[in-house]
Amino acid sequence: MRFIFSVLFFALMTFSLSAQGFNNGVSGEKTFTFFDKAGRNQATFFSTTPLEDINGTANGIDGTVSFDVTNIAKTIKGHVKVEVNSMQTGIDLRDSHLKSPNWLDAETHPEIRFELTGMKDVKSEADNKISGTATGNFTLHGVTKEISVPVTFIYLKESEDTKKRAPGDLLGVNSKFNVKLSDYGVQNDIIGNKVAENIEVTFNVVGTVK
Amino acid sequence: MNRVQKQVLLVTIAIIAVSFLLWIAYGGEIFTKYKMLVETQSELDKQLGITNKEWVDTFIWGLDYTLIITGITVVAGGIMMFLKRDKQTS
Repeated sequence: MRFIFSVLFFALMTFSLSAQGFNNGVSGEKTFTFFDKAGRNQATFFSTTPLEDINGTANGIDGTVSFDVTNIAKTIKGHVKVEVNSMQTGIDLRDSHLKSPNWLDAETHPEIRFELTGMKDVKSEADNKISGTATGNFTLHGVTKEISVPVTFIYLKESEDTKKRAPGDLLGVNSKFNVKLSDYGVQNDIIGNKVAENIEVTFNVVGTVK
Repeated sequence: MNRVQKQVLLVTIAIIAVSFLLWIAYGGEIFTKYKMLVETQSELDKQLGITNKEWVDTFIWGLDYTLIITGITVVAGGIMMFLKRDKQTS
């Protein structure tokens, strides 16, 4: 009886440990960088005004994330930053207003930053895919707040396909969350329109192994 | 209203109608746009679970252009109709 319990306990421990990271045959500490010369990494944002919807992109993304592949929850750390000047909404006048002192003030606060401090609720969705809630400090417009955002990581080992993008292993990172403008002292008027209080932000970035 | 004034009126209405039809045909956007966001996803993007959006140069006729053209046409038509009015001789 004691033997059965021991086996069950061991199996449970093994399962819970593997659920904390990838189970794709890779082990050890890995560091990925999000800087992409071609500007393919991007954050997109969506908002509404009484007159129309606003879609935008920001391609000036940089940052790193590092973790132990088999135990992400306890070892993850890193940061992502977005250049405010790389933001585009499809209308030049609106872009310049977005970066002006009345809005994001690109001159005084040139970047939006997320400092990753940990990850919780880590779930293994496939051998190379995990999801969870990333926690960290989000800085926008010079104001820093602790936030938790849902995130999905997909780990691809180097192959002929991945080499087309970059050498080495790749990490696909996807996250979608809302940012409340008033929390960060941003006025939500843009060219006479009242922009919705919550901006929907989506991160679609690929990390290349350092 | 004389024959010339009627022609001016018809042309004015036609220009305004075409302008509004163009606006509707372009999707009824409020502001004129020169770029449009298009979603792209390569086979590798699918494997990485990401989707990209890129700006494509395109022209989308907005309500702002429609109203500007309507305004200019109404003013120009009004001036033409005034200039081409029948001058009464006493």
